[in-house]
Amino acid sequence: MPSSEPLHTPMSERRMRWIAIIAIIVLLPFTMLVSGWRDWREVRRAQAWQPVDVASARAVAYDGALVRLVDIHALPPDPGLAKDRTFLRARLLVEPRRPGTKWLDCRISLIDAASHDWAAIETVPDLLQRALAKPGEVKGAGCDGLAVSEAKPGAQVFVDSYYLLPRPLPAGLRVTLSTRDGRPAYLRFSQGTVQ
Amino acid sequence: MKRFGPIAIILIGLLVLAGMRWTMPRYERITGPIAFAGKPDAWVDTGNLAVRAGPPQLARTIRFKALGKVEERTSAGIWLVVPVRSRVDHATAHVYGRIWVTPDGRRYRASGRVEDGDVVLTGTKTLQPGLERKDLVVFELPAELANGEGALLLSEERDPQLTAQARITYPAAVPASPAKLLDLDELHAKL
Amino acid sequence: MIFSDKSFKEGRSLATIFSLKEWRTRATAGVGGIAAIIASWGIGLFEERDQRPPPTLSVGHPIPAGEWSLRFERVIRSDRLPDGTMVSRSGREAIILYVQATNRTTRSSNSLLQAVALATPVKGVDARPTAYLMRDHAIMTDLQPGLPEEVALVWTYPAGQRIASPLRFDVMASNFKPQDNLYAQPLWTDTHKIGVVDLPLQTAQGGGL
Repeated sequence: MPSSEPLHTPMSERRMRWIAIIAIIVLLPFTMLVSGWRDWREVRRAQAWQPVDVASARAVAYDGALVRLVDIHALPPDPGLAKDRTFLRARLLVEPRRPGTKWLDCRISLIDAASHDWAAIETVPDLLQRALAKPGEVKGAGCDGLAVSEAKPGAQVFVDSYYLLPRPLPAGLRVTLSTRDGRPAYLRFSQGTVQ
Repeated sequence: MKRFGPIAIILIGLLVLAGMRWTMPRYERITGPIAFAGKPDAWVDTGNLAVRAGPPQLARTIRFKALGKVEERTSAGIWLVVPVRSRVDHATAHVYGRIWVTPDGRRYRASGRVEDGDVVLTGTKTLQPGLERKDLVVFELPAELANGEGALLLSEERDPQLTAQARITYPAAVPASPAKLLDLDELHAKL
Repeated sequence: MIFSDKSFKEGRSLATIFSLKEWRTRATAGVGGIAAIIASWGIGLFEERDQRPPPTLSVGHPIPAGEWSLRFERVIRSDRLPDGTMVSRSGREAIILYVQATNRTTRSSNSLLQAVALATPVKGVDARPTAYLMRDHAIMTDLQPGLPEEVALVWTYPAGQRIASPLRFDVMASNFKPQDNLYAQPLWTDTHKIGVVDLPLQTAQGGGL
């Protein structure tokens, strides 16, 4: 047993208690901040919060590449197709700027004035690709593949994504783009006319 | 009175702790799906996904078109086919969770034997905002359990945890004798 | 150490090198360690003792094996899989075991693949079987609770090997725990071998289905 110390005066004991309480109030949030910082960064990567508006026909730097919206156009009405829906294709021109741009978890979606969000079709049938291709243009690649990650800096990559939307087309359709390293910022291309 | 003060505090503490322990829901309930209850033939809105389930049909054999061919499926029990209309309010979604809960608590997942059916609601079918879908959800149940009573659980996620799940309860019905052969495409066309 | 004068002069003996009090202190200090050594030795002996050869289970009767109730029927060797594909095209042959399986749990499940293992050593054989639902002649997705179904479990191996007949299969079963230790959720755990089944290997006739 350690030899007993002289009795504390009541005054210093109360002060020690106050110091302890204040220390907890200060240390606890800091501990949570430090241990949760990495998780907070991951949460930010998953959500697209901050829109970056892009004027029409302008190119913008995003996640190590220059991105420009080429066009979005829809399938013309066809007797063989259901009347209440149509397919659209959005084409972007991506020029990687830095070597080894890894575009991971790329999401290109269509949004409208009422904040509806249409995600790209995952497996695109060849028939649809051919129906929406314009004559004489370069074949585009999907955004979720390695087309952008493996392109050399300065090369031009056309990225196509396809959507199924109701007809008549909703008002205010815009294309949005976000990647894992670019989030929470995402590109929001201004509404051009959908052809 | 002073002596009983600490004892009383301990006893009250014990009572409060025991009460908290006995009334605490299980962990799987706390972290489980957020249920949205509904009745058949009524829209159940879960935030993004909204579903409307119709009356179930029972059959011993089903026939459906899949990938260009006509397939038939027999069963050791009985097929339970529920017509479902679904739509999404905000963003593109799939219905990955399709479960039938029987009155005795067993959970049957939608049958994987009809995955390729054109009119069957599977995880590959996509719901787009503005486009409503009409599909059939198909379950395979033991004959003694299939009288149309149970609950249909539909959710965007396969195992929803703290995400929405629509729960449509079917009351006990007078058991109609199951059809010998049910053509799913015909049933879908009538919806 | 207390050396009593007497012991020093009269020559040493253990009882006089340490006094009784010292002995008691040292003994109580060491008793915990000694007890641990004896306990671990005893547990080791106990585990050695419990090794009994696994029971041979009967063919043709349903065997309750935890999550599954299995009725072994027959096993054949064939060059055609139950869905019709010729596995001989990739230079392999197949061992096809026919069982009638019933899901004893309350959820749809396909853990049947872990319930039966091929114990007879075959060079280059698949580690895990593939299950085919014989009703559809297609790969089994999952089995519903309470519905017995004919299932074919298929192991493929490089063609041209001699396989000793009878074939031995290990039957594995899990225990059901209504509330597990972590989340208080029902859990099938502790997979262990409950027995073996010996079946004579037959060769497929003609089509092999």
